[in-house]
Amino acid sequence: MLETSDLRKGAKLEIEGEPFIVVESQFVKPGKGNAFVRCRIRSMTTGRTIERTWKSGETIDPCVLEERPMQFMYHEGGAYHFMDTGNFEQIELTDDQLGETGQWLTENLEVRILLHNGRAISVDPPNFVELDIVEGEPAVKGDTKTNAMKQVVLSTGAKVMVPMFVGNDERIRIDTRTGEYVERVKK
Amino acid sequence: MATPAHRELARRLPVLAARAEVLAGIRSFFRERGFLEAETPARVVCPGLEPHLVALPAGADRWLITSPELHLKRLVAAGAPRVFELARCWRGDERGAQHLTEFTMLEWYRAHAGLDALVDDCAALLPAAARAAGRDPAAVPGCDLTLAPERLTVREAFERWAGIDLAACRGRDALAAAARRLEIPTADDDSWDEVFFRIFLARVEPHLGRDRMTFLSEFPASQAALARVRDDAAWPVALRFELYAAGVELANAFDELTDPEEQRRRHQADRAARRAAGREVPELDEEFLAALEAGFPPCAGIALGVDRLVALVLGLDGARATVAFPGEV
Repeated sequence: MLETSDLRKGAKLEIEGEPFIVVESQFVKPGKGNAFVRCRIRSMTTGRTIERTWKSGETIDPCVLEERPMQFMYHEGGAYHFMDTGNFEQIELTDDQLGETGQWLTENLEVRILLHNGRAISVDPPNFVELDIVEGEPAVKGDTKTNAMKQVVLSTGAKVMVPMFVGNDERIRIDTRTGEYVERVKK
Repeated sequence: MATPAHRELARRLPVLAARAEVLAGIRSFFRERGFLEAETPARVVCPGLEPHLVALPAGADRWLITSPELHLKRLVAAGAPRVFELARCWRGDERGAQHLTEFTMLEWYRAHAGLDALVDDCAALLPAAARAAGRDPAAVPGCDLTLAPERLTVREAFERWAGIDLAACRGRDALAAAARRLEIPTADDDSWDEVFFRIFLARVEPHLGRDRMTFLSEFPASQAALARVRDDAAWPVALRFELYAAGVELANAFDELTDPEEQRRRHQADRAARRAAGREVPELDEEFLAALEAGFPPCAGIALGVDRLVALVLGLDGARATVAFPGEV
């Protein structure tokens, strides 16, 4: 069980079976009353943010999350399909649940999936992925000094900015946490 | 070599200089109005008995004050017509952006005066504090201190912001049902006051002191502390107000209880509530009660959080941002 003093930013809790994360918390104590903790919390399944206030001394259900390594299989019908390579169990997440993460996924990529009561709520891709450029301006030879960038389209449909000297048939490494180009890699 | 802690402290120096100006401004404000500046003991037999305050021990049978109230009232009983103190106070278990365990309280008392005189004091003091800090009182973030303040009773505020008539919800279950209709969760062991505060914090407080100061008055009689009560049969209220600016509670004022018998009863009830809650139970302050028995004039008194006031006029994010060593208090 969590106590009200545990309700700091980033704490995870459960309300009526729904997992939430604390976005902001504030100790409050009205003039002639007891202490409360006023929090803004975000649902980890729907993303909706609500305000909740707990009385000091109340207990709160903790949220137990399970993390499992899984392999991305394919994207079909508005959903991403993953498989646990240990027991071959398959799960799917919707485009909405994945948000921007979907643009980094290629077949057989190893990801970490966060589950709450057996239900997947988020996908963590590796910090770095390698993807092929499929569309963009040809390389500007020798231009390694200026900071000028150009936009290219990758095999997954993701659009990223790369330096001018990168060719339009190369493979590049991307930092998935920032969505930024890191370097060119050999195909 | 300057460590990061040194550099952090060096960056705070301009804030501390402005804070010192506010303190000097407060002293001039009260001196000009004929107030006596008092210095009362910090280690006392009775640190205040309000059931929700945690007092910190300070040696055998002594506690650090949670407020200088009882000693200041002894000065009023002795004949001081106007008295104020800038007192360091301690409240255990209170820690947050707006709550320091060790903080600075401004209290002032006016004999033969009522709450209206304290409203006028506040309405003049806040702009004076801003000017002392070199700030324009009309440009304080979130609250123009030059606008005529808003005056609202608790009952009116609940009606306006929560759509609840408190006089029609005097039973605990009736108020809890009203909270649920607003989708405010309650706990089975909530008292009426706790349900009240849940609604207050969720729906009412965020609207207070926006753009201009709000004086919120006539609290439920159960939250009287040491204020007089007006025994209206439909809705008995405590004769006190709280001052809000930019959504933050700054001060708490009382039309002071002067009846020594009633005072003793409330102190004993508070001690019983503290014992039931497993809190420390200090002795009664017999010197204070004797002073009331000897004769206490009608009187209004108020306690104002100086750290919060400094944060307000400087536009800082909470009381903790106004002190020299925020990590240690």
